[in-house]
Amino acid sequence: MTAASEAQSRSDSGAEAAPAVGWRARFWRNEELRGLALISPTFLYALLLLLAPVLVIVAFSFWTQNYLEIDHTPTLANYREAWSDPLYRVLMFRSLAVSALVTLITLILAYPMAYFLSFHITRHKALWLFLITIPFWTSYLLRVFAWKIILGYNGAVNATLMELGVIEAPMEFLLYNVNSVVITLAHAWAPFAILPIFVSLEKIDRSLLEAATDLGDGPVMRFLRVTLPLSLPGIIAAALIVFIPTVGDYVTPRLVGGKDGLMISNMIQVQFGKANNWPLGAALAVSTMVIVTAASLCFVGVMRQLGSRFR
Amino acid sequence: MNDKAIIQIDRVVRRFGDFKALDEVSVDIREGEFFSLLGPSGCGKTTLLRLIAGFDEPTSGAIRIDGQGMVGVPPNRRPTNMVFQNYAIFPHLTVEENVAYGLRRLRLDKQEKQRRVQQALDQVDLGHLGKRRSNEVSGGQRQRVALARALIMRPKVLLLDEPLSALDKKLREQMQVELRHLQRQVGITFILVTHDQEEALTMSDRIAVMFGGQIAQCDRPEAIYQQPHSRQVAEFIGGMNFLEAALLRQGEDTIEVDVAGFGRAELKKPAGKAFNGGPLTIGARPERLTLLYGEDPGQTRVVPGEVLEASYYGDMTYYAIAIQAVEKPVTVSMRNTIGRRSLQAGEKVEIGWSPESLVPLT
Amino acid sequence: MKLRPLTIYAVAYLAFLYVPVLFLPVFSFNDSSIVAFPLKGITTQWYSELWHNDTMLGALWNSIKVGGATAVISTILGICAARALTRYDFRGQRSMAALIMLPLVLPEIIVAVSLLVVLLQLGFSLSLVSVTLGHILMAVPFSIAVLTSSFEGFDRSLEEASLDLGEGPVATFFRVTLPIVAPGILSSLLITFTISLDEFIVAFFLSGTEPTLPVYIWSQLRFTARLPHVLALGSMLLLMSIILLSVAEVMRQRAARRAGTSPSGGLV
Repeated sequence: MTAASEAQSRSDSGAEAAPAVGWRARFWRNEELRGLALISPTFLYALLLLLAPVLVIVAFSFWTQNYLEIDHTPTLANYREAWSDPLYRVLMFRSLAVSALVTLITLILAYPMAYFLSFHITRHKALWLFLITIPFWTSYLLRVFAWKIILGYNGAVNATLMELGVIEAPMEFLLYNVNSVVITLAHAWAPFAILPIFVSLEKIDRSLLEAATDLGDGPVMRFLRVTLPLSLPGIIAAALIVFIPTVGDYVTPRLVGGKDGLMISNMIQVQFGKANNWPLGAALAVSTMVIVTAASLCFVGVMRQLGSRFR
Repeated sequence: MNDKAIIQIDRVVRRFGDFKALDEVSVDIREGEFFSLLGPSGCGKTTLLRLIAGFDEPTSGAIRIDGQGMVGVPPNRRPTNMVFQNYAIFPHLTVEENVAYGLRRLRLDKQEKQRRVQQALDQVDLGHLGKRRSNEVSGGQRQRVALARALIMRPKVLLLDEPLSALDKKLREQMQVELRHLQRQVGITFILVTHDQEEALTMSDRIAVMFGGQIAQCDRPEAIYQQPHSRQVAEFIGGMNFLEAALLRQGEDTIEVDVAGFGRAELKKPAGKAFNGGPLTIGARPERLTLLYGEDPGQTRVVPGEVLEASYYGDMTYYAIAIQAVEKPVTVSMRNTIGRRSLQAGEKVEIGWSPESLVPLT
Repeated sequence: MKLRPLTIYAVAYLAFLYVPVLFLPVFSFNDSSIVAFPLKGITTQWYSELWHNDTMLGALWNSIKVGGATAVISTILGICAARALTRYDFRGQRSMAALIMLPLVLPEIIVAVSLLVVLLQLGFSLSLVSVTLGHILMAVPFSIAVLTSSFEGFDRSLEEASLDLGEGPVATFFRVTLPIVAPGILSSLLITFTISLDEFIVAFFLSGTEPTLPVYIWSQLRFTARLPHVLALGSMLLLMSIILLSVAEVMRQRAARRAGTSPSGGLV
């Protein structure tokens, strides 16, 4: 019997009309609602403790601190001060410059390592990755402090060089300035830069490289024409992961920066601490965020343009 | 197998946004039969299976199992069990523990449980592998574990979602025979989803061929193979030659057609079909035609042609023969019996045929 | 491994990563309270003196309390979110995920300062609770990262099979999902605990009278006489973190193997 004749015989025997499925049954089996319900605790937590406070900070940046009271009339005075005062400008500029430099150094150092890991290691990749990331998981504070020991007046570098007779007196310029901040941060963020680059290198289909070879490219051209462009997403991700948090770093400038190495977050902390000028601190924080976001977007845009030129 | 319908699918529609995965599908599946849902990927066969199992709800329409409506009934309360496409063997449990998984709710005493598990394992020829961890068994063995795990639950209906697709050809053929055997032994209804038409033909009591969310034809394997209702069905199952023909005369049981390149013939009219007088497509299975190597045709009608290509398949050879007045070459298959020689490209032959070789399609 | 220039580079790079860190234990055994070369002698006095320091022990205990609470709560939140993101498809999924994962890229000071302002404005006093709240925010993205790979590799049909065989959703969770994801959960607990243990900035801003260990260390850094103690403390922290993370990694690999995916991807 064909399906058509079977259905025919059934409706002949007077079966009821096919019902639409009840809405209640569909409600509880609804995938979307269950997913939303599941994610809600975590999402609400982030909403309440991250988004809301950040919005409050933004609000604060438009208010004024009158000794112990907060004057809620909206004003741009804080922003004016943040953007015009030469001290803050210097700090802001220095923070951006340091972060950009750190990002550049970190990426240049990290890329070959990521390449090595992806293309030259076949076994125990996870072990290598683990070894690379361990230092990052340990106390940031202590790692910065370690650099203080290394670069200090009586530190490892000076002591070793003096022992070897290369220099006669300890070098002063190693510590308590911008250089030490850059070195320390480059070291601290190294593993975090390797990971995204590694991931995008791993994703590259190896047969693409074989095809390039087959079509006549040597190793350098292969790298420039195939590997590098395809790893661009990883490079961009690594750059952002290093740049954005570095701008707001507090510990490193404080420990090894001395007077000349201070960055904007040190000033933000002062406003929330001793100086007790929260609105100004908020304005500084928001300004930092805005500038960082703008810089990042520019960067991503430029990289995408460069990337498409390689085709 | 009796005539009682154990599963009734009544005008089931399953919509995903604008897309209709199932479009008013209705079919009754009989108790004890080996029923296959056959079709290309995307035709809706797996969707239908999952609706029966309870992992999805229809947008409209009803599914009744053993007379009971299944709306809103979750999969763990339905009298069905499923063998998943990738077997879904629990990696953290041994073979025995996998098979015994569903027995927990029955709260059997240890001995009874052991007995049943061993029986289930023996039934699928895995009696000695109980203590193995699940990552220590091969693909074919995992499939049997999945079977045992489902059958031990004594479901009314066993659902199989492309269970043999991950196996290599030899193993697949072996399992096809074993599954058929098992079904006869156990006696419960099996519903198999597959895209492999050979599989469906070998194992099933009835096949429902599906395209685009609808059942195109539901019938016994022989009927589907020899009297396909449409070109689509004919094309999907087995190789088929499609020939143009003109309708000359339409009677009550027969029609007379003029087939391009072949000539006139009187064919049996398929039940319930009416032809409107325009041009038709005639199907001819390669094995229903024969090649004459220069002997006397006798009563057989012949068409002269030339061999274009020969494809050797071990037991059969498929020849592409070019004939006059027909653009596409006609495929004829010949068994490689003793004494029969293979033909080469360029040789002249005659295609032997009779009205029984031809099937009218819409 | 062939001795190519790249190999040499890789080894040098690893050395660059580790050497500064190794200075801490080196100087913690130095028989001198001045942290400078050359080394004077070997002593364990700094370690033994540590144990008599009640303030330090108090800070350690605080850190353990905060770390424990952070680990448990952020792992639970992480389980919910990771499962929601891998198993389901719902509107706004990507924006919600972006918000939850945001602390990974935000400068910590922004997070610390924002929370500080809100908590004080709402009248809450700063304490270990406020630190924990901040830590959970920072740790949840990591928990989700670890658990996502656990859940993603986990074949969905395993849960369907369990349902098919008669178990309800709750029983399925405990009999199938949990055992397979368990190593991933353990890994998440260890990682979030370690993150909390080592975290400084948020703790610095949000702790009241009770310091956590890093905050305590910070306060000691200005006293040169206390320096060797700090180094000893730091070295122990380092060792503890490394041990915890190694265990977490082993667990994570086991989780991947159990779920049937390849364990070679790393925490990536």
